[in-house]
Order: sequence, then structure tokens, then C-alpha cells
Amino acid sequence: MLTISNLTYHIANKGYLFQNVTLSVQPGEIVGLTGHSGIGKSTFAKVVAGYLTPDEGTINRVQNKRQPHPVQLIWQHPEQAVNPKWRIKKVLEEAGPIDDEWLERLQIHSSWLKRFPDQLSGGELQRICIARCLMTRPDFIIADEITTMLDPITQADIWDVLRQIAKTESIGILAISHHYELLERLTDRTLSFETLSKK
Amino acid sequence: MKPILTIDQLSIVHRVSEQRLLNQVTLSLQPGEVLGLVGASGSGKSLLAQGIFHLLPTNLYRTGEIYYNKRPITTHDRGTNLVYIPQSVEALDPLMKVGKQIVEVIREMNPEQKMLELLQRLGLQKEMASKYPFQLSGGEARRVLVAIAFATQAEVVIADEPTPGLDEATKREVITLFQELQQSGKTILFITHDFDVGLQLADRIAVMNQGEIVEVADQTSFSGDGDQLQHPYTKKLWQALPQNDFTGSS
Repeated sequence: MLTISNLTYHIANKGYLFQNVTLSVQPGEIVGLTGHSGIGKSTFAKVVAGYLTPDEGTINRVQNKRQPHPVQLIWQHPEQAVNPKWRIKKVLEEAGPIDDEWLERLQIHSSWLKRFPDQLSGGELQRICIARCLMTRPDFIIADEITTMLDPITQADIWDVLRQIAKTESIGILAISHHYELLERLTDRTLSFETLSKK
Repeated sequence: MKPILTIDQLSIVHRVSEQRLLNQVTLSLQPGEVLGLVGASGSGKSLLAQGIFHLLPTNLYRTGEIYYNKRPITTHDRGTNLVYIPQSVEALDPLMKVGKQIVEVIREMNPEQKMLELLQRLGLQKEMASKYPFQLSGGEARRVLVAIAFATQAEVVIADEPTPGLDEATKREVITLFQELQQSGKTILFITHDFDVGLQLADRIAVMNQGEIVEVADQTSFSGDGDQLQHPYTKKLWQALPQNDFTGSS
């Protein structure tokens, strides 16, 4: 289980962004996280995935030396999450040797590997980012608005695959979104960041 | 009623590969209506707006014709009869104060006064006028862009993706802004990948797939199982919404 206890983070000269946030995610569970813009959801995601250090609080999954972080983050804008000058093959190899199983499950065409990021559509590139994430064999995934920029069909496709993977691989997913109907459809339960970060 | 803007067989072609990125797009807008243009990313929605305004990158060219009030549009129409609200709020001039940018497009007496009225109408403090774009939040910058659309005499507003990545509250606010634009008598082409927003705002929805308009349907046709929709892609798009079947392409 991913357990986050009393997580607190402040921004210099601006005070606390959030305080004492406590939540947990079970393996294989999809938990929604919602809240208005600028409240600190994405910063919270970065703290949990190890990009930022919290002021206080504990997370029971941390990175071991020379290992990928057990909590992986998938970003809202895939085009900003990959090196634009690398071919897709190299982008994927960041996570280690390419595992064909994931490419197949995410319907990634082998011809894409030779291309550059700007030669794929938003939905295709997001699938590359998801494959890169899964190839690190994470225990938990934080999906930060990962389908906000995509059309409904691509959105449904991506979540269909991710839901199956969460189940078969027992990966817990924390899905951050503003989209109420999406979370309603997708998650086992949804938490409000406003309520969690009461100061 | 005669259409105010007609796009007649507009194609956008790559100069080298001769690939058609937009294929024979024909659309017309009636005065005072909001037409939503939806479709996947990369389907050519933004190209259409850029094509109308002659803002295409140099490696692309266009064929076909665009008519404003039944006559072919000229460069003079751009910014006077037709106004473009681009996708990026970076479209504001970074070196010019916000107030001045609004005043510049006002063709009336007392532009300063008019500009202050507009700021107030859009819920912005009058101090905003003396700020530079970098001092604005994303939402404020967007309102300034809408203020510019209000300030022009233009009857037709073409807005490209004005709601990317906004939370529900801000999204509602943007929708309200555009409803006000419509009520002030403007005709709006509203380009969005966000189907929900398109449905809330538009009278008719044009659906674009791979550079072609596959269907133009009344907003009311998007209900129930989508039985009133004609094209399989439109039905698919409707059914893929989380509040409907949430089924993808497979």
C-alpha cells in the first residue's frame, strides 16, 4: 500500500501550499484526486514521485539507489515530458531495455520508434509516456490530467488500457483530474484536495 | 438568412509532400450563431483558423475561398471584420501595457473610457490596464484577449482552444464570457478539443476527422444514444464520453 502521511510543502515567501495531507492507495486501486486550479495537486504529485522534497511528512515508498522510483508520474503534456531531439526509441530506452509486451498492450506501432516526438499525435505520444512509465515496473502511478488535452475517443482508449493494467499488474493509480464524469466512471473513490489539505 | 462567413472547399496542402492536411472543408456561419468545431488533436482544427487568417507556416499553402458577407475576404477584413483569439495567451504583445493593447483596436470616440468599461465588464480591475502581460495570471490574460475581441467592431470571432487545461470553475467562466460575446451580436467559430465545452456553448457542432468535416449537427442531436447523429465517427466521439459509454476505438 502507498501511504502518505501528514505531507506538508511550502513555497518560499508564499507560505504553505498544502499541509498535513494524508492519503493511501491500495495496489490495483484507482483513486481520484480533484480540486481547483492552483491548489497544489500537481506539486503534491511531484513530491510523492520524488521530484520535490516535502517540509514534513512521510511517504512509505521512496527511491532506492540506482533503482527507478516506485511511484511514477505521468504528465499532462506528453510533448513536454520527452526530449524533443530524441527519437521515440531513445525516449523509451530511458526506462531501460524496450519491453515489446508493453508496446503491444499499449498499441504502439513499431514504426513510431524511428520517429521524433513532434511526428506523433498527442494521444500517441501519451501512450509512449505511459509505456516508458510502465517499463520501470512501478508499484504506483500518479496520472496528472493525462487525458485532458485529448479527444474523448483517445481518452477512453488510454484509460481502458490503464484500467486493465492496474488490475492485472496490481498497480495503484492516483488519477488527478478536474473532470468529474471521468473520475466518476474510472475510480474506486475520489478525494478532494481541498478537504485533504485543510490548514 | 444569408451566411456571414462561408468557407468554401478550403484545402491546406504541404508544399513539398503535397499531403492534404485539410481536405475540401466547407462550412458556413449564420449571423449570431456559435459554431463549435471539435475533433482529435492533429485533425486540422487550428489549421482551419490559421488558413482563414492567412497565418499558415510558409511550407503550407491553401486552396479554396473564404467569403465574408458573400464577398471574398481581403487582408483588410482581418482584425476589422474578423478577429482571431489564438490558442496561446502569449499572443499578447509582451512589451505593451494591456490597456494600450485594448485601446489600439477600439475605433470609437473616447477609447480610453471604452477600454475601462470593457475591463469592468469582464471583471478585471482598472489597475489591470497599466500592467504588462507577464504580470497577469492565465485567466486574466484570457479575459484580456476576450476584451480585445469585444473592443473590435468585428462581427465574427474565431477562437482557437480557449479552454485548455482549465478547472471546471474557470471553464464555466470562459463559457460565460463567450455567451456574452454572442449576446452582443457576434458570430463565433469556437474551436475546441473539449467536447463538453463545445456542447455547452454551440448552436451547431462541426466534427473534424483527419482534415475533413465529417458532420455538422445541431447541438440538440447530441443526446441519448446519439441516434440522431449521422456519421460513425461523430457517434463514436459522443459514445466515448465518460458520462456515456466510455468506449474507445476498439
